[in-house]
Amino acid sequence: MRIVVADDHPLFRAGLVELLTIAGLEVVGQASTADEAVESVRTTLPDVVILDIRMPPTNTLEGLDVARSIRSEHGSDVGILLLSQYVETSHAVNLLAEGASGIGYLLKDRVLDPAELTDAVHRVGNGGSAIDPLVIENLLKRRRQRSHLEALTPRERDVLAAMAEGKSNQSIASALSISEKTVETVTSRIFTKLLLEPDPDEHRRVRAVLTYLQGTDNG
Amino acid sequence: MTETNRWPWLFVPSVLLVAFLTYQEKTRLELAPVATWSILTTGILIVTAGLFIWRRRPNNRCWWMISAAGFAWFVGDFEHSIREPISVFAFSFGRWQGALLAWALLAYPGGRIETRRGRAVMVSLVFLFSMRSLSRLFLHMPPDVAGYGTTNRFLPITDDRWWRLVENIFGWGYPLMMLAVLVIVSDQWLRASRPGRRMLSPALVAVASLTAIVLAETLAGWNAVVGSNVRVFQVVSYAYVVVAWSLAVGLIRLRQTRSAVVDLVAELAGDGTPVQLGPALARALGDPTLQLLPWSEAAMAYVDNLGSKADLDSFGPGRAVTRIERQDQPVAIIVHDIALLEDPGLVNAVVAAVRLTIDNADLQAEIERQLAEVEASRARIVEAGDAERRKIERDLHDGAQQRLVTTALALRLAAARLGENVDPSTRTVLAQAVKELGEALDELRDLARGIHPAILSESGLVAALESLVDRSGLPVDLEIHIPEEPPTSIAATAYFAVSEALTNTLKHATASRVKVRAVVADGLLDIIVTDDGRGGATATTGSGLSGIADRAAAVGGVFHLHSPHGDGTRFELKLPCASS
Repeated sequence: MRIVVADDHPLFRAGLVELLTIAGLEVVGQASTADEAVESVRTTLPDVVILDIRMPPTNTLEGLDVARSIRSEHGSDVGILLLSQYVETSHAVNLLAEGASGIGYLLKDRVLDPAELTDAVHRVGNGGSAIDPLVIENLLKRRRQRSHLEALTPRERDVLAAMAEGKSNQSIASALSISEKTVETVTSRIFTKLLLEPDPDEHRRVRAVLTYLQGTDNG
Repeated sequence: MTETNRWPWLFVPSVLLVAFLTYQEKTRLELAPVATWSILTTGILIVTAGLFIWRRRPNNRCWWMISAAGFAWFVGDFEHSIREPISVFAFSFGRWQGALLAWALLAYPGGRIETRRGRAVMVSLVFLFSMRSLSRLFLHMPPDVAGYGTTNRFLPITDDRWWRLVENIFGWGYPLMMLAVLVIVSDQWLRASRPGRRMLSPALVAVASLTAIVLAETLAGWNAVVGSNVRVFQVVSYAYVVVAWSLAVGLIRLRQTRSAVVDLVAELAGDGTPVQLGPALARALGDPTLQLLPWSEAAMAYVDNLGSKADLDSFGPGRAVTRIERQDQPVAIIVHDIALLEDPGLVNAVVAAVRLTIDNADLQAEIERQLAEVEASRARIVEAGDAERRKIERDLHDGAQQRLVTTALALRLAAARLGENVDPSTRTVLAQAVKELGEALDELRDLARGIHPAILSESGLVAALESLVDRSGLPVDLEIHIPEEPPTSIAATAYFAVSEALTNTLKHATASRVKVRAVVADGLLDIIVTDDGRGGATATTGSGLSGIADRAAAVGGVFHLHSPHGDGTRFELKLPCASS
């Protein structure tokens, strides 16, 4: 899998590149500013670009703009994984507004867990998503009031959160120490309780769950 | 009014006593009761006029001249007293009321005779009356037979020519001088402008009456008048009353002119801008031609409202210039009718009022300027504080946080490079270090967010409030209607207020439900945070809530806290918000 890494901090970038390389991923380009990132993606056409959300020149939300322009230039061919010192639910909501496929949004600290990082990179590279658990937690919290989420058991809620993060049945199973079969059963129960159409496709499933979580209706 | 100047009240019993004595005397002489009553009421009414002036215008000396005239009126009535010293005194000092009333007339309205000719006439009158009194006292030789008058017992003079001479001089001089008073007062009146005439007209009535009395007395002869016709005597008596009361009424009306100054002050106090001073002064002084010319520092001259320099010599006759100065600095001049100077107190009062007004306007402008300065600097301090917080947050983000992540990453890589063939305890130490760093990062993140949330400057108040509520750990109902991002300082104030309210609720209220409402309506950002907790929150000095109140005030907002014990808490913050 071919990766472009964009972060204005050289040491962090180097560390991240090394970490990715150790994990068997190929880093084909590096960038330290927003413009460089766009340019690098244009020339190398990677599977995934890892972007720091704050980059020069203004050090605010360049990452989001870069993501938007890459998305409009390359569609979902290039997966985008945004890293940030803070995760803000509203950024995630903005990011996911145009679809969850090939999108990731993680707290920067997550890179300290190489397994989690590579899992996320792979998911994003394969058209899936990787949403930070903190975002999902907030979405669940916001949605819990006056909604069918109240009817979920704690276990079902955990599975729902993992699904929303973009995890596959397999990784959900290993994360929660249950069998994949159980995950499938729980998943279909959740969809029934939330009055959602069951969907075997994992990517579309994430989309449905995120849409549900962001919804403002009482459904 | 102090104790010391209450003594004129003694005039009341005095005049009643004198009237009683006069009544006895006239009864003894078997004078017609109608005439007696005329005498008594005339004297009492004149003294009353004097006292009336004293009560209303205590600083005007006219009051004692008129009161004295009232007492003098009675003196002549004791000419025929059987007690010789009394009859001599009465004969010598009778009729002084004419001189005293003339004095009051000439001194009207200021209480002092201001003109030289007025003083000359008054001196002549006093001289004539003194001559007459002294000659009656020392030179008079009455015919013994008539049993009328008294025998001269002070000087051994046997010839009555001197006495007759003096009487003749007085007989001619008194009416002449009275005509002079008439001329002076009439002339004053004719020269006066409208306000001046209004002020002087009572004196004109008075002087006409007095002159008429004197001429009547002179032409008919004093004794003839009294003796021949009671009706004529009554008319003459009451003419004196008219003189005294005309002056009294005139002075009271002057008082009303003064009260116009009071109105002026009130009017100026209401909306005391010097621009409206001119018309207000013209109204107060009854002089529509009045002009107020302020001093211009730039032109180094008094200027009219077109800005052109005023030529102080060009105002012509009948106009007077009154200067208003403050601490020896020219402030303005008032160009007005010269007649207004006849009551210098009035002009002084107006000048004082104008000076006060200008002082007041200056002070007010100064205070407003200072207040605006303080408000602006307070707002600047808050803004500077916010900017500083943003900078610290950014420094933490780009510095410490980034370095910690990088360090943790480096440790992670070191562990990876060491590979499998390493002491497991080393691996544990490295893993522990990474974990510690992760926790440090979490803490640093919370700290930075508390200093200034990046999302507020990056995504605006709505997102920041949502994020705040997400992290509050409280079940919060959030209602937000902020169609346009408010100015930075307002947004920051709103954010920190909600943050403080939620912190407070979480710490103290033990609430089961919290509502946050942030709505922009009519140019106001209205923020209400309510909970159903135990209440009792106070914004004591130094507390976070009082900090919110201060911050709100600094950006022109209002903070209100309602937190009765046991009945929940309601924070309300209203902030001015241009984007309505």
